Parts: sequence; C-alpha cells; structure tokens
Amino acid sequence: MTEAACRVDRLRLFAFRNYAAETIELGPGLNVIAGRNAQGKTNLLEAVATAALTRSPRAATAADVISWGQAAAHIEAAIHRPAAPVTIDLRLHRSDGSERVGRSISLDGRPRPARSVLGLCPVVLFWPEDLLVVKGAPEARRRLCDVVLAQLEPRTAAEMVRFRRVLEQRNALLRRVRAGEASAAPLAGFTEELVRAGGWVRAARARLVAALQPLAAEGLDVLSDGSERLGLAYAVDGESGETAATDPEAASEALAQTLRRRAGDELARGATLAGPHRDDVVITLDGRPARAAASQGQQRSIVLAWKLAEVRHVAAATGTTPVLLLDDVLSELDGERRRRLLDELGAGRGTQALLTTSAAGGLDLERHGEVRHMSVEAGRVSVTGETPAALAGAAGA
Amino acid sequence: MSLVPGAVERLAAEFGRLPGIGPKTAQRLSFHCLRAPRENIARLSAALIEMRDLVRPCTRCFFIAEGELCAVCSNPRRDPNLLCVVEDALDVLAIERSGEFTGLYHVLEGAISPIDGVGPEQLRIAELVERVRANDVREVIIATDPDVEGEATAFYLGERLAPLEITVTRLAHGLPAGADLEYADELTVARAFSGRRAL
Ligand SMILES: Nc1ncnc2c1ncn2[C@@H]1O[C@H](COP(=O)(O)OP(=O)(O)OP(=O)(O)O)[C@@H](O)[C@H]1O
Ligand SMILES: [Mg+2]
Ligand SMILES: [Zn+2]
Repeated sequence: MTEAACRVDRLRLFAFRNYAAETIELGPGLNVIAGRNAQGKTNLLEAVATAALTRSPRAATAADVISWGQAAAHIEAAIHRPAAPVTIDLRLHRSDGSERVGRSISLDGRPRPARSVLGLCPVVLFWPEDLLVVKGAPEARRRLCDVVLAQLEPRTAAEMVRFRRVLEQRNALLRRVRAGEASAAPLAGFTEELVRAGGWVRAARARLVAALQPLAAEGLDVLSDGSERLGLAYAVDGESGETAATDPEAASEALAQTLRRRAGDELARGATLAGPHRDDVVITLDGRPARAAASQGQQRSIVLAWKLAEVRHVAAATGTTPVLLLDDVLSELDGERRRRLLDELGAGRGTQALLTTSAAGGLDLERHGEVRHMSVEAGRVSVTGETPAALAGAAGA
Repeated sequence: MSLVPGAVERLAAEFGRLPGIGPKTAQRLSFHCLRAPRENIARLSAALIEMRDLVRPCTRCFFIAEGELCAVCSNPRRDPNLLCVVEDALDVLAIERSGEFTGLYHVLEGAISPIDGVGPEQLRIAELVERVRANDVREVIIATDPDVEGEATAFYLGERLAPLEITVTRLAHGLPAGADLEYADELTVARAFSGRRAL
C-alpha cells in the first residue's frame, strides 16, 4: 500500500470500564493483547475505537463505559499521523443524578467539536458480533456501513444525527395523531426534514456499498477456497429489492414519493414506514441470498472479505491506512487462513493492528513484522515481549 | 449526616437548578453568599423578585417588557410592516446585536416538538397569524433555529401564512447546521439576514 499509515502510539485511560488508571504504549505493527476472560482486552480495543469515533461502537449508552461508581471516564490517545501528530482527549462525565452523560473533546489541549475528530485516525473494527452479521438483523448491516461513513464523510455523520432526531420527532407526532392527541398539520414539515436527511444517508450508504462490492468480491476470492462470487447491494426498505439512488437529491425524491404513497398506512400505524432506518444490505453468493444459504465458514469468510474491503476503501478514500482492531477474531481461524488474512490486511507491515486473544499460548504470528506482546489482567497491561522485525530476517532479539 | 447545614444545602440545590451550573459551582456560590454582606444578599433577592414581578411578555410580540409593550414595539422608528419570527427572547437580543434588522419581532416561545408534546397550539402561532392579518405586514422573516424542530416549525409557518399573500422568507443559513441563533456571532447573523430566501 502506498498510503501513509496512522497509528496510536500511546493510550492513557482513567476510569474507563475496568481500567482505573493505565498508560499503554503500543507498537507500530502488530499488538497482540492476551489475557484470560473478562480482564479488559475488548475494553482496550473499545477505548481506541471510542477515541477515534467519539463514541463507543458497542456500548448501549455512553454511561456504560464509565467505571462503576466513578463520575467521569477519560481517554487520551496520542495519534501518529502522516500530516502531524495529534492527541485526542475525550471525557465522558455523568451529569449529577441523571444517567445523561456529557462529552467533551479536545485536540492537543484545545476544546473541539466531535466532528473535528472523526476521520483523524480512521479505524476498522473486527468485532466477534460482526461474524453474525450475514444472518443477523438488517440493523447490524446498516451499522457496519454507518461506522465507516461517519469516519469518511463529516456531512454524512451530521446527517445521520439529524436523521435520528427527525425520525424520533416524526414518530412521536404520528403516534400522537393516531391517539387523537395532536393534529397532523405539522407533519409535512417533519416529512420535509426526514426526506432531506434520509435521502442523504441512503445515498451515502448506497455509494459506500457500491464501492465495497468489487473489493469485497476480490477479498473473498483470496480468503476462501471456494469460487463463489460475492454480491453486495444496498436495498431500500428491506425486502422490496429496489436499489437506492447514489445521488442525495434523487434519493430524497424517491423517499418523498414512497412516503406520499404510504401516508395512510403511516397514520394508521403511528410510525415512519420508509427511510434509511428500514434499509438493508443484501449479500449474495453467486446471486443467492447469503442470509438463507451461507454456511458457517462462508459467513465468516464473507464478513472478513467485507472488512478487507473496508480497510482498502478507507485507505483509498483518506490516503491513510486505518488502525485495525481485531477482537478475538483470529483465534477462530486456522494458522493458514490467519496468515492469509493478516497478509492481505498488510497488518504489521506499515499498518498497526491490535489483536486480542484469550488463547493461552497467544497467537503464532512470526513472519508478521514487528509484534508487541502484551498481557492484560484486571485492567492492568504489561508488555511481555517484543519481536522486532528481526524474525523477518536480520539479527535476533 | 451532612457536613453543611441544611440552609446551605437548600440554597446550593436552588443554584444547581440554574442552567450551566454544576454541583461544585452551586456549592461555591452558596458559600459566597454566606460570606457576602447581608445588604448585598438583600439586593440580590429583591432584584430576583422584582424582575419576576415586573417583567412580562410584551402583549404584542411576546418579547420581554416592563409594561404592556416591549422596547422594540414601543419604538416609533421600527418598521411595523416587517416581522421577524424567533423561538425565544434571547434570539431577539442576538439579532439586535447585529444591528441589521429594523422591523418588529414575534417570539413563538418555543418550536414544534412532538416528543415534548409541543404542537402549534402551545406556541404563539395563532397570535402571529392574527397579527399579520390585522396589521399591514408586508414581509415575515422566519428566524427559527436551523435544527430539526426549528426547520419543521418554519415549514409549518410557511403553510399557515401562505393564504395571507405576503412575502414569507426564511433566514439564510450562514449559520452552521444545528447552531443556535443565540450563540451565533454578529457578522453571521447579519449575513443570514441579507441572504434570506423566499419560503
Ligand atoms: N463500566 C464498567 N466499570 C467497571 N468494570 C467494567 C465496566 N464495564 C465492564 N467492566 C468489566 O470489564 C470486564 C470485561 O472486560 P472485557 O470485555 O474487556 O473482557 P475481555 O478481556 O475481552 O474478556 P473475553 O476474553 O471474555 O472477551 C468485566 O469484568 C466487566 O465486569
Ligand atoms: Mg472480549
Ligand atoms: Zn413587543
């Protein structure tokens, strides 16, 4: 890869999950994080993702990441970037008495809005739950798209927030109208807003899926021994089979039409019946829906191919290779597949990766450039070994 | 058992209810009051009560006033044919700081928000329509916030005012998306006025 890499050099955590206060120095290549169950391996990856995305990709509410009994969590991540290094500082604090959590962010010590962080240090997540995405609910597939888009397109990140808000308002109004508590007169204004933000989000997702499709198909060829052709298509309103426009205005117009057609249903059901919150990514193998047909092994290969595509797409779009966060994913693969995946990812060769494993012997990863071995126990991290580029050729450690 | 006397805690709890004041600041303020001369405290509490008793919404535009009419409505040099519709009184101050607007205001006292049970009936919208109908208003500029609720409210007002055959414009968004008029700087507000668009 010709892109410059971005990496996390140092991470400082305070009252984040089961980390009371810890400083973690990460290596530029592979970082293998080993430890028994429930020691904080996933939490460590989550901390990196939270700093990069300004919110946890797995917590149900922001309060979840604050250590129990503490008022505030604090993550400081020193990022090495091709342009210039930057330190992201993110604090989450409970407003007293309530479960509401305030968030403050600064870059190099200066307070900044969340949107100025997104994309600074792109990350690609490989979460164990992701392996269920092929057969899981559409929501999981949509989220896969949204995590990528939030980092690549600031405008889309803002439109997603706006969409969630207008959807909430519009559904509340439809419910009240149905219950006879409110007049439908203000509905048109919320529809207008829904269509604008919704069209933008749909078009962005459709463009993303179109860009990932050839990369993922290629990835599947490399990763699996089969010869199935992988298909990805962004489908509006789930089953309908209609593909979305990649132009925001066309997508908004199409959504407006659908909503006009379904106006009666919406009032009867008291809910918004069309929009990006009901879309799906249809995954096919040789044209057959993978949701119904893919075997366990095929599902895993599909997801890994998607992730591989994500890495390549993010790298091409930002000119920066993302940091890879692989939680417990490699332990499921045999040695040969693991090697192939890491090779394809470029992990350890110019690309920083954090890999967790609960396997007693760690992971067998020689041949993968610089490897730093760490172990986690009850929220404390220690470096247990370092394999310099040495093993790839030159002098021993 | 609590370390500080109940009276101190009760005052801190009151301060804590104010916007932007956390528990630590609330405590600091109450200790400050404890040490301040008694006449200062008397002045403070008198000022609070006086303000609540004397200040009411202007009967015409719902901006704040000490008598029937606010300072804007009672200024003969303001152009009564031009109305600017805002969500709350603080927005009036933001627009006045820009010095760009010479007409009168209409304060809605909120924006449509079904989640909070706020519909058009809870806002000063009927009064607006009546005001436009009864007076010789030439143009209504809608300056609600650019967030979801403000935009939906603007759209609704556009529909309500359409039959009256006057010019209805929307304040242009030189304002950053989601920004609140109250926090925008003067230049941005001034630019937004010159770039308003027809609704
Ligand atoms: N808000 C919190 N405050 C304190 N501790 C927390 C908080 N949230 C989670 N934990 C603790 O963190 C631990 C889980 O950490 P983590 O999910 O990182 O485990 P892991 O090392 O990845 O384990 P596994 O190998 O099972 O995946 C649990 O012991 C849990 O109780
Ligand atoms: Mg884990
Ligand atoms: Zn007035």
